[in-house]
Amino acid sequence: MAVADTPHAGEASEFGDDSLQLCCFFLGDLLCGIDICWVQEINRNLSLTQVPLAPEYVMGIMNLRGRIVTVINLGRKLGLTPGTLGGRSRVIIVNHREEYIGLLVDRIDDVLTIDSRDIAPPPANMEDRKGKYFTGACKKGHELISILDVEAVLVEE
Amino acid sequence: MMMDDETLQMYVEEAGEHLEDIESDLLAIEQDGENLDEELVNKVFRAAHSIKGGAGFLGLTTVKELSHKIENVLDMVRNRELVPTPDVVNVILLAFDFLSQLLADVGNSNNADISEHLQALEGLVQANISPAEKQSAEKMVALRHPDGRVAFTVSELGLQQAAKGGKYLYLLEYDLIHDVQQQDKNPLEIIKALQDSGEVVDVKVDYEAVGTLEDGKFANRLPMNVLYASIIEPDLLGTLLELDDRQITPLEEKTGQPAAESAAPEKSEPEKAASTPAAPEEVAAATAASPAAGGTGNAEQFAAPAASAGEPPAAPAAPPAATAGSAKPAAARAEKKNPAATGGSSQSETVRVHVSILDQLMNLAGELVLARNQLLQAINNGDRSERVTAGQRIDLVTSELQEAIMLTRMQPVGNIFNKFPRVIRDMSRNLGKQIELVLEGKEVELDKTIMEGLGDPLTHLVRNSADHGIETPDERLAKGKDPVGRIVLRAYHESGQVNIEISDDGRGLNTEKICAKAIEKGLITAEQAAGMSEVEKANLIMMPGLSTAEKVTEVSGRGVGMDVVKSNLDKLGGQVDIETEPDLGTTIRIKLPLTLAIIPSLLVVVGRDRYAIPQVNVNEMLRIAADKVRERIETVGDAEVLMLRGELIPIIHLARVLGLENTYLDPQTGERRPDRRVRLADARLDQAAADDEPGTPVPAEALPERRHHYTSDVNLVIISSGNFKYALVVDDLHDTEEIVVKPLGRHLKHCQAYAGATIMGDGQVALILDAPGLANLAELASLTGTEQQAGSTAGPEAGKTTKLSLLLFRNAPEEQCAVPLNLVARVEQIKASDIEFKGGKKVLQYRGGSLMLYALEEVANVGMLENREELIVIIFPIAGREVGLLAAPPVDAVELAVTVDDVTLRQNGISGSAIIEGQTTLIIDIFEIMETLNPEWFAERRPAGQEAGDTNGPAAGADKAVLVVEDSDFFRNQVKKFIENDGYQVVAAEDGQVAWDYLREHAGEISLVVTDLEMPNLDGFELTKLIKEDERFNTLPVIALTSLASEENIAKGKAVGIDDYQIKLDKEKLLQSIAGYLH
Repeated sequence: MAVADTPHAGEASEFGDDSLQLCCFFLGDLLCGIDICWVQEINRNLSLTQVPLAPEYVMGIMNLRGRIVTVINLGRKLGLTPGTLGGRSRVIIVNHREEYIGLLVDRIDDVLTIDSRDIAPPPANMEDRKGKYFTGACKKGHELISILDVEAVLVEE
Repeated sequence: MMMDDETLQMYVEEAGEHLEDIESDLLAIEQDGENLDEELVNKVFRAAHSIKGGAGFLGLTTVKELSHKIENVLDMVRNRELVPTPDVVNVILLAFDFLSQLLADVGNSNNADISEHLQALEGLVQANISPAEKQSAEKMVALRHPDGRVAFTVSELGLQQAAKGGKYLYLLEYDLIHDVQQQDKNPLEIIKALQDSGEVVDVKVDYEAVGTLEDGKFANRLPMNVLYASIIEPDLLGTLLELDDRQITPLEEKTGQPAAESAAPEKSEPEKAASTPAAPEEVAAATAASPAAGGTGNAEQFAAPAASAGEPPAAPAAPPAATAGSAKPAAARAEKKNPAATGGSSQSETVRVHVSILDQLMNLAGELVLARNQLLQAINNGDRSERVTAGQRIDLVTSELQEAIMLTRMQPVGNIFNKFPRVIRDMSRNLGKQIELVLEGKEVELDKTIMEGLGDPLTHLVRNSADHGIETPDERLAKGKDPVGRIVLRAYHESGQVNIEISDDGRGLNTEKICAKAIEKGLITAEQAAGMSEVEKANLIMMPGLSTAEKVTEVSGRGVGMDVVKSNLDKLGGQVDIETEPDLGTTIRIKLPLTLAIIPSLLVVVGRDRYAIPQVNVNEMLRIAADKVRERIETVGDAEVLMLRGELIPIIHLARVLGLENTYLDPQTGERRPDRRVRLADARLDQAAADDEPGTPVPAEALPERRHHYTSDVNLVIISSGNFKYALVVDDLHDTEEIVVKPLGRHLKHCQAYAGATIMGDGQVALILDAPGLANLAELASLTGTEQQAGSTAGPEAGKTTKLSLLLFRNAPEEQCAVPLNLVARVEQIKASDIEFKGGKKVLQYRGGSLMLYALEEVANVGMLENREELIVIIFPIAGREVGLLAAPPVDAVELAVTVDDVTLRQNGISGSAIIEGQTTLIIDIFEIMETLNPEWFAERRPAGQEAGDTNGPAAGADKAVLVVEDSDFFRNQVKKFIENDGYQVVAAEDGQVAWDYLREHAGEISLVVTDLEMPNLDGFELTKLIKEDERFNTLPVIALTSLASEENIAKGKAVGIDDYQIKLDKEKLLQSIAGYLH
């Protein structure tokens, strides 16, 4: 189920050139968002093939219409509660350096348009290890969205 | 000025085609020498000619000039005025090379400096023509149109040559605008058509005639002048070429003499010539008419020549420059670099596909559409049988489609092979060798990707053969060989793979030298080397870090070793084998898969997942019945090994390597459950372990226990890759399937266990196992990488293979033991009841005396001697007396090469183990056993020896310390012990360097050296050499020990001063020899 047209697309003008669309999802209880430019599609195909000896954060590989896609357990990668395969978990397919990579998340939330000027730096009390994966946080309504640095997350270890 | 890019591109491609075979043709011409094959020369001539023709109107003056000169030389060859000697052909080849370069960068070709080539070519012409001709060659004639415009300025000789054979000379004038452009034709096609029926001597587009807007003479026409020689008569030509008669100007005299004006040679520009005053001799035109605009003749509709009918037209559209970067230049000949200078078009990768294949693809695509319709209909109707039919049809069509598409990627291996005649020719010239190259199986086809990767390794191998393999003619004559060396390059199909062989009849590889080098570089040990077969030694050459080129030559010394060749070929999934025989030559065989994209693979199951193993790595599959596991699988140390037809194969548990749980199929529930066995031979049920009687036939159905059910069978895949061979334990074996290889993502690139992944029929992903990677992961009993590559010890035991004569016997029924045969005096059969127990010891009345009897278990921790009536006694002479070792039959004497592992099972009384006749065999150290049991025997002798040594007393062995140099612990101890046993003092050293250091420090103490030959650091030969060259030691006798005394070694040893040779463990002779030197 690809994200074709987002309902918020029209709101872009509201913030002018500083607008940013975030694809939001939950990792455990943490609400995270990534710039929607990264997202190719969101997939509910969870039949993964495990890869023994792979780095711990690699959940497995999947078949995306004939392509082999590495699926990363985002929760584990970020040092949070590792994600599990469940009814609401999804794989966000991102295109990173001409390779499709899947990010396993616990639940998809929404696509939000925010003003990039509203983004605050990540809280200083965030642990270093986790901190390097986040570019900032922003408030939307009464919820705080942590914005992920996809580039940092996808660096191979 | 340039023609449009499309035309230029076409020209370049066509020129490339012409140049393609030139090399081999020229080489053939060179070979024929005076026995000219005119057809061949003509072919080359035509090629040069066509290139010249096109270059003429494209304004590629440099290309034209160069090809023209080449053409001149070739024409002389054709007319037998010039013998194509190697030197001549060399000049032509170099010129063609440069021509290729020019064409590769057409845009800048006009700026290239070709004077060197022109001079060389001119030199050939000048040197071989008669003075009269020379004169005429320098004499330029201007050829004019009937209206006086000068069309060409050519040399008189050129004109004469063109008119040879009774040809008519014509001056044709095409109008590129009206005759060509507006008729939707292509100038190249016109030239081609002209060449079909005659010879185009020269072509020139008269841009001047266009005029400029300023001078108001804009003529709306662009004449292209063609100087044409043909046997077609004037009245027919117009019809044939569909040119108006006015556009054809026959030149009356073939010599051009009466019709042409003499012009000064420097006036090469026709424009200049045109501006000169009217010449006295005007070109007489038979039909003088205005060649003006509007040629009425309909030019012939030129069909594409048959040769190119099967090829798709060149793709005119240039892909964006960004993608061009990834295109490989080596791909197809058709693809040519088009420099930025020409703008617009850029490099694109193209493949030539035969039209019949395209047709086939079209057909199949059509069928696929039909099958799809059928399927859709069947789904809509809900008709099951129809669906099945449609499914079958799609299955069939898909596999055919796949095959057909693969065919489009196939290229004849000749594409690579064809460059080698030139390589060999140039090399033989440079190296002063005579080499004949034979190419076989050029038509064998390989996948494009493989072909691209094959070029470099193959070139390296061929160059190696020429450089190192083939000897110089003198050397060959001296060996009684044909002075002309022969290199055969052969491609052929074999069992679904393509084999490529490079064989030469040269000197062969010097395996000893390779071996020595490998030892020197620490890649293998001397022990390993000693146990290697010739083939194994030859294959060492592919180890990284070993370059055997004695001297770095211009040809092969480019720092690229065979290891690079091997790793390149490995990437292609190829396997390399080397066979060599001294003075008979070397054959290198490369086995390649037909394609890399789709490979047949064996599917196996481990845990809950399927894995694919490329079929090329699978030797065989084995299912060992549960009750046979104990017999077939043995444990050496903590490693499990499989006995397979006398071979010992290390076992790798796939699940363990991958860190998975083994599973088995529960026969009752049909579920997969975790398997808790640690070793395969372990019974599945704990309580069954104790009473499990092997060999007792139990009807499988009778027992419900899993160990007798087929699901308890052990499934093994015997895998070989390069020099590895191992048995992979998997939970289950599935089918063989053709799988499509897909790459794994970046995050998984460090997992060396996998070669990729594939998508199975059910859409699930399966990983493809990488055979060498798995072996690395399993650390195949901790062999280092280099040792693994050497392949000498694929088994888990490290040690060296040595030829031994052994007496085999049993102690406990299942425990095979062996003792070196030459330590044994006799073997006697006795009855257990004959043994007397006296004074706490076992004695046997024997030959009128009492023989002390000992059993192995008294010293070593081994099984108890079998309790039976029939026993044997092995009698050894030890420390001046005879002792008997009790043993159980059967006894056997064997002589064989075994690898002694002196680590794993080493214990007091047991010097090590070896695999003999398929069983792990303990090798008994009889000296150690006796020493343990009766230390006083040795204590007596030792102080005596020591004392004698100190006092220089007269006792046997006095002051006669023997230095034993041997790197194998097993042999060193054995030799040391029996020499000691004979009453000598022994100093042991583990290699030549240690021995030499010891000798220098204790110069006077050693009176004899017993040395092994193959040793690390300093081998026996070197040690002997040092000893014999040192005046302190040069009287010191040196006895060499070898596992097998070869003639060659003996000669080599005598040369450095080795006094005697003895076979290892031939105790009697060695002792005799020692005694001979010391008494």
